[in-house]
Amino acid sequence: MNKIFALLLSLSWGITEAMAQDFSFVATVNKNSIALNENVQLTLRVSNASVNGRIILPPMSDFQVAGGPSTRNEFNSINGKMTVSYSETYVLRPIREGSLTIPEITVQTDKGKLASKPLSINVGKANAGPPQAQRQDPQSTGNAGDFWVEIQLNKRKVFVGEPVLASYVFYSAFDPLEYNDVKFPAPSGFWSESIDSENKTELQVINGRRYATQVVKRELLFPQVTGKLEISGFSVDMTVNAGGSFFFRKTGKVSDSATPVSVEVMPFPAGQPAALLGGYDGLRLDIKADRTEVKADEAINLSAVFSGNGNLKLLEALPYDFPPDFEVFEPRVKDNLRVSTSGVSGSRSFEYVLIPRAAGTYTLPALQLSYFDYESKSYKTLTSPELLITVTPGDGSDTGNYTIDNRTDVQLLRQDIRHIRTGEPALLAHNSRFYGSPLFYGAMALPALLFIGVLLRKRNRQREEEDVTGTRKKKAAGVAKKHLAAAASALKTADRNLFYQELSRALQSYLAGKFAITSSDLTRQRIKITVGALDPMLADDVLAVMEQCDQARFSPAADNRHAAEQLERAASCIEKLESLSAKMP
Amino acid sequence: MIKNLILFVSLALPATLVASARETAVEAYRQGNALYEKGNYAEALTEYEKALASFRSFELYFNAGNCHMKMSNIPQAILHYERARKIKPTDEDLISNCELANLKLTDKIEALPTLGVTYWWNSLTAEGMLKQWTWLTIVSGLLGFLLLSFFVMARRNGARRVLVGLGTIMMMVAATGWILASFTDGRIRANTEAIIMADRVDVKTSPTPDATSAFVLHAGTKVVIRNRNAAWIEIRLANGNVGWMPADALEVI
Repeated sequence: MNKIFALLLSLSWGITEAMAQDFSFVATVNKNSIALNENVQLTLRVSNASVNGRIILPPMSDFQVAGGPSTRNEFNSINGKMTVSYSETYVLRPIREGSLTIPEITVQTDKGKLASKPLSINVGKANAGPPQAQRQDPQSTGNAGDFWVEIQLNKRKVFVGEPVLASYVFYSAFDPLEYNDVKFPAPSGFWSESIDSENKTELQVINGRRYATQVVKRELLFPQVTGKLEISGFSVDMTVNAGGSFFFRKTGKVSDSATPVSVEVMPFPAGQPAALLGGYDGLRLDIKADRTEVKADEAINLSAVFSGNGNLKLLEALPYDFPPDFEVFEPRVKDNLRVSTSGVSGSRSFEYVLIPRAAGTYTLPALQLSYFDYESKSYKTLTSPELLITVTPGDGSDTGNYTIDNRTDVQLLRQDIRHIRTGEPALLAHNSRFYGSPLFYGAMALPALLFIGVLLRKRNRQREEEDVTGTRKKKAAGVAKKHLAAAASALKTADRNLFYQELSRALQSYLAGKFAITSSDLTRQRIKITVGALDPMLADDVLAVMEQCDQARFSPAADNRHAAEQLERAASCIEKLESLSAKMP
Repeated sequence: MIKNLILFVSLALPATLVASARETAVEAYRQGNALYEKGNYAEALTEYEKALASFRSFELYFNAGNCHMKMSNIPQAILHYERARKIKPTDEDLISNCELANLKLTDKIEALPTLGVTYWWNSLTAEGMLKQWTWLTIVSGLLGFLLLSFFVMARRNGARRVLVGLGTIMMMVAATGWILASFTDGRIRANTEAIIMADRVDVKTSPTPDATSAFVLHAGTKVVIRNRNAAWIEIRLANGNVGWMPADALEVI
């Protein structure tokens, strides 16, 4: 009997020894921040120590006790470490708004007097709705839920590209043992970046119950499209220790899928600049060239570093228009990024290698890049400085880019230029040219004027000549009449010689004057042609009269009986010719 | 009488001045040649430039171009060669040196092939030919008018026929000479070609600094001027490309 008692005693001693390893008194609340019309649960737990009597709350000026205490005894063994705990839970209601304090609470135990740390609780304005006595979870109605999962977001309303921290959490009233199946959402419209999480199970008291809770996964979600984006599909199926004692564990399976949550993604506000990089926080741009004065065909290293917060992986190479004379290689992209719960931060750098191929002064223009700053909710502009690059002619030794075409050129270049001219130079005056000068036109005009003068003179003379024949034509009839009158008077005086002379002259002068025939050309033939053109009978008449005149003149023996008849005949001939020639043009 | 005297003096005085300027220019040319042969290209060039200040001459431009070539100043060499080419386009030495200079240029522009007729026409209307055409026009014009005048005055038919034939031929020669002279003169006046002097120049699609660049040209390239305003010149390349560039980046040949 004694032996058994001693064994029991030693056993209980051993247990107490084990219990004595770490004893504690902890005061916890389920929320640190509540509204005035909400309650807060205060749990006082004594571990590995036995309380003398009950825990007595000190007087609290800021809270009134709305319920409790409910007491609870627990015995846990984890990894062979035993914990015996006793806890009391009170429901407290705040009296006023502000930062309220639950004072230090002391308790008398067998391990001496233990004290909890004071707790501060922020009390805000009263909620409009009914007091949230307990968390409302549609999936875990009933007995406040033994197990549920949640998707927690740090923001519900963001701009495009602004990161949202999503935490996938489960709450279990039972001790979790192992996962059977975990499904994470693959939300569309987001670019996601997962964060390493510790997967640490924590204890949390909700509504007076203790829950084991664990963040299964955390990730940053960068919305890429605007509108209401839904995140759904998080579900956990796991095996838990569903009550029972340490020795007689009762395992059970629990599962739940999270309520879909949604994020409202707003587009960037109006007034969007033309070249927008996207949304970032505190973005900076540094552009540096390792040197700005090079020889042709020497390389320049140009680095452009973006640094700041945000999804820098979306940044692309600078919109530089490099001069065509620059050989530009694809820039090397280097990322130095850190992903944390506050977002992605770090830097992304573009490293260019530029090789100018021709001498000259080149300007890489200043760049104006804009981004949307989430913090200030406004557009901001990054300005890179203008880069001036002076390229001096290379020494030509680096012929890396020379083509075959140029190589033949080099061979040709060995032959020298032809020697200078040494002969007498032909000097041309700069401005005073002979062509087009007044002197030139004068030299051209002078012979032309001379020619015109000659032409005019010739024309005048011709006119004069024409005038002579014209007057002779007009006067022909008059002259003939005069000679006829003289012939008539000679007939009266019976001067036979004179008569025929005058008669012949009358006809001859008339024909010569009228038809512009010189007296030397006045042959029978000519008369026959000229007068015959008008009237052939008349021509014969005229010639007959003239013949008779000649015969009478040179043969005085011929009778002169027909003298009067001859006169009449000559007069009628002249008259007829006159009338005929008047019809002529 | 007094009027004639004044006219004579006013014509003769500049003529004597020109004559003395001619002598100094020739002297500078000889000096330059002597310096060039000693290898003193920079000083030779200043002598040639002195002569070029008052006269244009194929020999001066050619020798100045050689000086620039010797000093590796290719764009200037090309400018001087091109100026020499305007005066005498068919000179063999000039063509050879010009080819050598062009080999050292950055821009290689495939020129459209020129026809034999174009070459022939270019040599006919070269600047050096203006003097010939002018005198041909004057002399043949004078002869033609004289012959025609004699024709007008002549009475004998045979003589008249010969005179009118010769006179007409002379007048046609004069007309041809005048046409060629006016083409040559137009070409000299036009100044339609230029050489790029800036190391490199962006040729824009329109005459504004912020217009997009059509292509880039480098020193020494020959361009044809199509159009110009105060600060911009529209140019055409030998391959037919067209664009605007600042006027100060080139020098008219």
